[in-house]
Amino acid sequence: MKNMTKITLSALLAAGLMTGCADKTERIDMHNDKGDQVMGLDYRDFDQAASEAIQSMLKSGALDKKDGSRYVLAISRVTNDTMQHIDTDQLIKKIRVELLKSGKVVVTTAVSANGAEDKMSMDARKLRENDEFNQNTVQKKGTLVAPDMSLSGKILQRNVAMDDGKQQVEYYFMLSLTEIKTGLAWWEGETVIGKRGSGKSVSW
Amino acid sequence: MIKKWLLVLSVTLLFTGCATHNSSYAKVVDNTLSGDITITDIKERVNSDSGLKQLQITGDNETDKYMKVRYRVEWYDKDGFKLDAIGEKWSELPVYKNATFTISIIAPSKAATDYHLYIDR
Repeated sequence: MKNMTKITLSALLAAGLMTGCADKTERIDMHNDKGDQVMGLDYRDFDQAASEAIQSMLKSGALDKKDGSRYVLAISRVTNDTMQHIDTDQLIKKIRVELLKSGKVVVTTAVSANGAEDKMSMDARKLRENDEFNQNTVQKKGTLVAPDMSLSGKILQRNVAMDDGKQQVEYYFMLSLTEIKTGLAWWEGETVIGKRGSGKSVSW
Repeated sequence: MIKKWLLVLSVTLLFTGCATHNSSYAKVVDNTLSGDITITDIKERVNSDSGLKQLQITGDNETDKYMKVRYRVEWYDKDGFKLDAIGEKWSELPVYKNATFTISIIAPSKAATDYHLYIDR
Protein backbone atom coordinates (compact mmCIF):
# COMPACT_ATOMS: atom_id res chain seq x y z
CA MET A 1 0.00 0.00 0.00
CA LYS A 2 2.87 2.32 0.90
CA ASN A 3 4.50 1.63 -2.46
CA MET A 4 1.25 2.41 -4.25
CA THR A 5 0.99 5.77 -2.51
CA LYS A 6 4.61 6.57 -3.40
CA ILE A 7 4.02 5.71 -7.07
CA THR A 8 0.88 7.87 -7.18
CA LEU A 9 2.67 10.79 -5.54
CA SER A 10 5.60 10.47 -7.95
CA ALA A 11 3.26 10.39 -10.93
CA LEU A 12 1.43 13.48 -9.65
CA LEU A 13 4.72 15.29 -9.08
CA ALA A 14 5.98 14.42 -12.56
CA ALA A 15 2.69 15.55 -14.13
CA GLY A 16 2.86 18.78 -12.17
CA LEU A 17 6.43 19.41 -13.25
CA MET A 18 5.63 18.80 -16.91
CA THR A 19 2.67 21.15 -16.79
CA GLY A 20 4.95 23.75 -15.27
CA CYS A 21 7.49 23.33 -18.04
CA ALA A 22 5.02 23.49 -20.92
CA ASP A 23 4.84 26.92 -22.62
CA LYS A 24 1.47 28.43 -22.13
CA THR A 25 -0.22 29.56 -25.31
CA GLU A 26 -1.96 32.89 -25.00
CA ARG A 27 -4.34 34.58 -27.35
CA ILE A 28 -3.13 38.04 -28.36
CA ASP A 29 -5.33 40.94 -27.37
CA MET A 30 -5.33 42.60 -30.77
CA HIS A 31 -6.83 45.82 -29.36
CA ASN A 32 -4.20 46.46 -26.72
CA ASP A 33 -1.15 44.40 -27.61
CA LYS A 34 1.88 45.53 -25.63
CA GLY A 35 3.88 42.47 -26.62
CA ASP A 36 7.53 42.82 -27.57
CA GLN A 37 8.35 44.01 -31.04
CA VAL A 38 9.83 41.61 -33.57
CA MET A 39 12.40 42.44 -36.25
CA GLY A 40 10.09 41.17 -38.97
CA LEU A 41 6.74 42.69 -39.88
CA ASP A 42 3.76 41.81 -37.74
CA TYR A 43 0.08 42.77 -37.83
CA ARG A 44 0.72 45.95 -35.83
CA ASP A 45 3.00 47.25 -38.57
CA PHE A 46 0.43 46.52 -41.26
CA ASP A 47 -2.26 48.22 -39.16
CA GLN A 48 -0.11 51.32 -38.78
CA ALA A 49 0.82 51.49 -42.47
CA ALA A 50 -2.79 50.96 -43.57
CA SER A 51 -4.17 53.48 -41.08
CA GLU A 52 -1.71 56.17 -42.16
CA ALA A 53 -2.40 55.51 -45.85
CA ILE A 54 -6.18 55.74 -45.40
CA GLN A 55 -6.01 58.95 -43.36
CA SER A 56 -3.67 60.49 -45.90
CA MET A 57 -5.84 59.44 -48.86
CA LEU A 58 -9.06 60.75 -47.32
CA LYS A 59 -7.43 64.04 -46.27
CA SER A 60 -5.92 64.60 -49.71
CA GLY A 61 -9.30 64.89 -51.43
CA ALA A 62 -8.12 62.60 -54.23
CA LEU A 63 -11.17 60.39 -53.66
CA ASP A 64 -13.74 63.20 -53.65
CA LYS A 65 -15.74 62.89 -56.85
CA LYS A 66 -17.38 66.16 -57.86
CA ASP A 67 -20.86 64.66 -58.29
CA GLY A 68 -20.61 62.90 -54.91
CA SER A 69 -20.64 59.41 -56.43
CA ARG A 70 -17.96 56.77 -55.86
CA TYR A 71 -14.84 56.03 -57.84
CA VAL A 72 -14.26 52.49 -59.08
CA LEU A 73 -10.88 51.31 -57.87
CA ALA A 74 -8.82 48.48 -59.33
CA ILE A 75 -5.98 46.89 -57.40
CA SER A 76 -2.82 46.91 -59.45
CA ARG A 77 0.49 45.29 -58.64
CA VAL A 78 1.75 45.62 -55.07
CA THR A 79 5.24 44.20 -54.90
CA ASN A 80 6.76 42.52 -51.88
CA ASP A 81 10.39 43.59 -52.11
CA THR A 82 11.28 42.43 -48.62
CA MET A 83 13.11 39.32 -47.49
CA GLN A 84 9.96 38.04 -45.83
CA HIS A 85 7.28 35.81 -47.20
CA ILE A 86 4.37 38.17 -46.83
CA ASP A 87 1.16 38.44 -48.76
CA THR A 88 0.69 42.08 -49.77
CA ASP A 89 -3.04 41.60 -49.20
CA GLN A 90 -2.22 41.93 -45.49
CA LEU A 91 -1.84 45.63 -46.24
CA ILE A 92 -4.11 46.14 -49.23
CA LYS A 93 -7.15 44.37 -47.81
CA LYS A 94 -7.21 46.68 -44.79
CA ILE A 95 -7.05 49.71 -47.08
CA ARG A 96 -9.79 48.34 -49.32
CA VAL A 97 -12.11 47.65 -46.39
CA GLU A 98 -11.70 51.16 -44.97
CA LEU A 99 -12.06 52.87 -48.35
CA LEU A 100 -15.25 50.94 -49.01
CA LYS A 101 -16.60 51.98 -45.61
CA SER A 102 -15.75 55.61 -46.39
CA GLY A 103 -18.31 55.61 -49.19
CA LYS A 104 -15.77 57.20 -51.53
CA VAL A 105 -14.71 54.12 -53.42
CA VAL A 106 -15.96 50.79 -54.65
CA VAL A 107 -13.39 48.18 -55.61
CA THR A 108 -13.73 46.05 -58.72
CA THR A 109 -12.85 42.38 -58.39
CA ALA A 110 -13.33 41.83 -62.14
CA VAL A 111 -10.05 43.52 -63.13
CA SER A 112 -6.66 43.57 -61.45
CA ALA A 113 -3.01 43.45 -62.42
CA ASN A 114 -2.97 39.70 -61.83
CA GLY A 115 -6.19 39.00 -63.71
CA ALA A 116 -9.66 39.01 -62.22
CA GLU A 117 -9.66 38.56 -58.46
CA ASP A 118 -13.08 36.96 -58.74
CA LYS A 119 -13.26 35.03 -62.00
CA MET A 120 -16.98 34.43 -61.55
CA SER A 121 -17.86 37.78 -63.12
CA MET A 122 -16.54 36.45 -66.45
CA ASP A 123 -17.39 32.78 -65.92
CA ALA A 124 -21.05 33.61 -65.30
CA ARG A 125 -21.15 35.34 -68.69
CA LYS A 126 -20.16 32.13 -70.40
CA LEU A 127 -23.68 30.94 -69.65
CA ARG A 128 -24.98 32.98 -72.58
CA GLU A 129 -26.60 30.76 -75.20
CA ASN A 130 -26.66 27.89 -72.69
CA ASP A 131 -30.21 26.52 -72.88
CA GLU A 132 -29.98 25.12 -69.37
CA PHE A 133 -30.04 28.63 -67.94
CA ASN A 134 -32.85 31.13 -68.04
CA GLN A 135 -31.26 33.73 -70.30
CA ASN A 136 -33.16 36.53 -68.58
CA THR A 137 -31.04 35.83 -65.49
CA VAL A 138 -27.74 35.83 -67.37
CA GLN A 139 -25.88 39.16 -67.32
CA LYS A 140 -26.18 41.19 -70.51
CA LYS A 141 -23.22 42.49 -72.46
CA GLY A 142 -21.72 45.80 -71.42
CA THR A 143 -22.72 45.69 -67.74
CA LEU A 144 -19.30 45.40 -66.11
CA VAL A 145 -17.95 48.70 -64.83
CA ALA A 146 -14.40 49.70 -65.79
CA PRO A 147 -12.16 51.21 -63.09
CA ASP A 148 -11.43 54.93 -62.76
CA MET A 149 -8.50 54.56 -60.39
CA SER A 150 -5.73 52.10 -59.69
CA LEU A 151 -3.87 51.40 -56.45
CA SER A 152 -0.33 50.15 -56.77
CA GLY A 153 2.70 49.99 -54.55
CA LYS A 154 5.68 48.32 -53.05
CA ILE A 155 6.86 47.14 -49.64
CA LEU A 156 10.60 47.52 -49.42
CA GLN A 157 13.14 46.33 -46.85
CA ARG A 158 16.57 47.72 -46.15
CA ASN A 159 18.94 46.11 -43.63
CA VAL A 160 21.68 48.19 -42.05
CA ALA A 161 24.47 46.62 -39.96
CA MET A 162 25.42 48.88 -37.06
CA ASP A 163 28.85 49.42 -35.50
CA ASP A 164 27.85 47.85 -32.20
CA GLY A 165 26.85 44.62 -33.89
CA LYS A 166 23.19 45.44 -33.83
CA GLN A 167 21.02 45.41 -36.90
CA GLN A 168 18.63 48.05 -38.16
CA VAL A 169 15.81 47.07 -40.45
CA GLU A 170 13.82 49.69 -42.31
CA TYR A 171 10.53 48.90 -43.98
CA TYR A 172 9.03 51.26 -46.54
CA PHE A 173 5.36 51.00 -47.47
CA MET A 174 4.95 52.94 -50.71
CA LEU A 175 1.57 53.38 -52.38
CA SER A 176 0.26 55.30 -55.40
CA LEU A 177 -3.26 56.08 -56.51
CA THR A 178 -3.38 56.63 -60.26
CA GLU A 179 -6.20 58.06 -62.36
CA ILE A 180 -6.45 55.55 -65.19
CA LYS A 181 -7.80 58.11 -67.69
CA THR A 182 -4.72 60.31 -67.51
CA GLY A 183 -2.14 58.04 -65.93
CA LEU A 184 -1.45 60.69 -63.33
CA ALA A 185 -0.86 59.77 -59.69
CA TRP A 186 -3.41 61.75 -57.68
CA TRP A 187 -2.14 60.54 -54.36
CA GLU A 188 1.10 59.01 -53.13
CA GLY A 189 2.00 57.93 -49.66
CA GLU A 190 4.89 56.43 -47.77
CA THR A 191 5.10 54.99 -44.26
CA VAL A 192 8.48 54.06 -42.84
CA ILE A 193 8.77 51.62 -39.96
CA GLY A 194 12.21 51.11 -38.47
CA LYS A 195 13.34 48.40 -36.07
CA ARG A 196 16.64 47.96 -34.27
CA GLY A 197 17.67 44.76 -32.54
CA SER A 198 20.21 42.02 -32.22
CA GLY A 199 22.40 41.36 -35.23
CA LYS A 200 21.60 37.70 -34.75
CA SER A 201 17.90 38.30 -35.36
CA VAL A 202 16.67 37.06 -38.67
CA SER A 203 14.34 39.42 -40.41
CA TRP A 204 12.89 37.25 -43.12
CA MET B 1 -32.07 82.80 -2.32
CA ILE B 2 -34.51 80.31 -3.86
CA LYS B 3 -34.43 82.29 -7.10
CA LYS B 4 -30.63 81.98 -7.19
CA TRP B 5 -30.78 78.24 -6.69
CA LEU B 6 -33.40 77.90 -9.42
CA LEU B 7 -31.17 79.87 -11.76
CA VAL B 8 -28.14 77.65 -11.02
CA LEU B 9 -30.32 74.55 -11.50
CA SER B 10 -31.63 75.82 -14.86
CA VAL B 11 -28.14 76.60 -16.14
CA THR B 12 -26.90 73.15 -15.01
CA LEU B 13 -29.78 71.42 -16.78
CA LEU B 14 -29.12 73.46 -19.90
CA PHE B 15 -25.47 72.33 -19.98
CA THR B 16 -26.43 68.72 -19.27
CA GLY B 17 -28.81 68.91 -22.22
CA CYS B 18 -26.04 70.17 -24.51
CA ALA B 19 -23.66 67.41 -23.39
CA THR B 20 -26.19 64.73 -24.29
CA HIS B 21 -26.72 66.19 -27.75
CA ASN B 22 -23.02 66.18 -28.66
CA SER B 23 -21.24 63.34 -26.89
CA SER B 24 -17.82 64.05 -28.44
CA TYR B 25 -14.79 64.38 -26.23
CA ALA B 26 -11.03 63.93 -26.07
CA LYS B 27 -9.32 62.93 -22.86
CA VAL B 28 -6.11 61.62 -21.34
CA VAL B 29 -6.95 58.25 -19.82
CA ASP B 30 -3.62 57.35 -18.19
CA ASN B 31 -3.43 58.84 -14.70
CA THR B 32 0.37 58.84 -14.81
CA LEU B 33 0.15 61.34 -17.68
CA SER B 34 -2.17 63.76 -15.89
CA GLY B 35 -0.40 67.01 -15.29
CA ASP B 36 2.25 66.13 -17.88
CA ILE B 37 0.02 66.07 -20.93
CA THR B 38 -2.91 68.42 -21.30
CA ILE B 39 -5.37 68.92 -24.12
CA THR B 40 -5.59 72.62 -24.84
CA ASP B 41 -7.78 72.88 -27.93
CA ILE B 42 -10.14 70.84 -30.11
CA LYS B 43 -11.04 72.09 -33.57
CA GLU B 44 -13.71 70.49 -35.76
CA ARG B 45 -14.87 71.15 -39.28
CA VAL B 46 -16.66 69.32 -42.04
CA ASN B 47 -14.72 69.33 -45.29
CA SER B 48 -17.00 70.87 -47.92
CA ASP B 49 -15.68 68.64 -50.74
CA SER B 50 -15.58 65.29 -48.99
CA GLY B 51 -18.31 65.84 -46.40
CA LEU B 52 -16.03 64.19 -43.83
CA LYS B 53 -15.51 65.62 -40.37
CA GLN B 54 -11.95 66.67 -39.56
CA LEU B 55 -10.51 66.98 -36.07
CA GLN B 56 -7.47 68.74 -34.79
CA ILE B 57 -6.60 68.12 -31.17
CA THR B 58 -3.83 70.26 -29.73
CA GLY B 59 -2.08 69.62 -26.46
CA ASP B 60 0.99 70.44 -24.42
CA ASN B 61 3.77 68.33 -23.02
CA GLU B 62 4.61 70.26 -19.90
CA THR B 63 7.59 68.12 -18.92
CA ASP B 64 11.28 68.10 -19.79
CA LYS B 65 10.95 64.64 -21.28
CA TYR B 66 10.29 63.42 -24.78
CA MET B 67 7.43 60.93 -24.65
CA LYS B 68 5.88 58.49 -27.00
CA VAL B 69 2.21 58.30 -26.20
CA ARG B 70 -0.58 56.66 -28.14
CA TYR B 71 -4.12 57.59 -29.07
CA ARG B 72 -7.20 56.05 -30.54
CA VAL B 73 -10.54 57.37 -31.65
CA GLU B 74 -13.99 55.82 -31.69
CA TRP B 75 -16.53 57.26 -34.09
CA TYR B 76 -20.31 57.36 -33.64
CA ASP B 77 -23.15 58.19 -36.00
CA LYS B 78 -25.81 60.82 -35.29
CA ASP B 79 -27.91 58.28 -33.42
CA GLY B 80 -25.04 57.32 -31.14
CA PHE B 81 -24.23 54.01 -32.81
CA LYS B 82 -20.56 53.12 -32.91
CA LEU B 83 -18.90 52.76 -36.31
CA ASP B 84 -16.13 50.25 -36.97
CA ALA B 85 -12.94 51.85 -38.21
CA ILE B 86 -9.22 51.10 -38.22
CA GLY B 87 -8.63 54.29 -36.18
CA GLU B 88 -10.02 52.46 -33.16
CA LYS B 89 -6.65 50.78 -32.80
CA TRP B 90 -3.89 52.60 -30.95
CA SER B 91 -1.60 54.86 -32.99
CA GLU B 92 1.70 56.13 -31.72
CA LEU B 93 2.32 59.84 -31.25
CA PRO B 94 5.65 61.51 -30.54
CA VAL B 95 5.37 64.26 -27.94
CA TYR B 96 8.44 66.47 -27.67
CA LYS B 97 9.54 68.02 -24.39
CA ASN B 98 8.01 71.37 -23.46
CA ALA B 99 6.24 71.55 -26.79
CA THR B 100 2.77 71.44 -28.23
CA PHE B 101 1.55 68.41 -30.14
CA THR B 102 -1.23 67.99 -32.66
CA ILE B 103 -3.40 65.04 -33.58
CA SER B 104 -5.08 65.43 -36.93
CA ILE B 105 -7.79 62.93 -37.85
CA ILE B 106 -10.41 62.60 -40.55
CA ALA B 107 -13.67 60.72 -40.01
CA PRO B 108 -13.96 57.30 -41.67
CA SER B 109 -17.23 58.23 -43.42
CA LYS B 110 -19.89 60.93 -43.67
CA ALA B 111 -21.97 59.03 -41.12
CA ALA B 112 -19.35 59.67 -38.42
CA THR B 113 -20.47 62.75 -36.49
CA ASP B 114 -19.32 62.22 -32.90
CA TYR B 115 -16.06 60.91 -31.52
CA HIS B 116 -14.35 59.75 -28.36
CA LEU B 117 -10.60 60.27 -28.46
CA TYR B 118 -8.36 58.69 -25.85
CA ILE B 119 -4.70 59.42 -25.12
CA ASP B 120 -2.72 56.79 -23.23
CA ARG B 121 0.87 56.01 -22.42
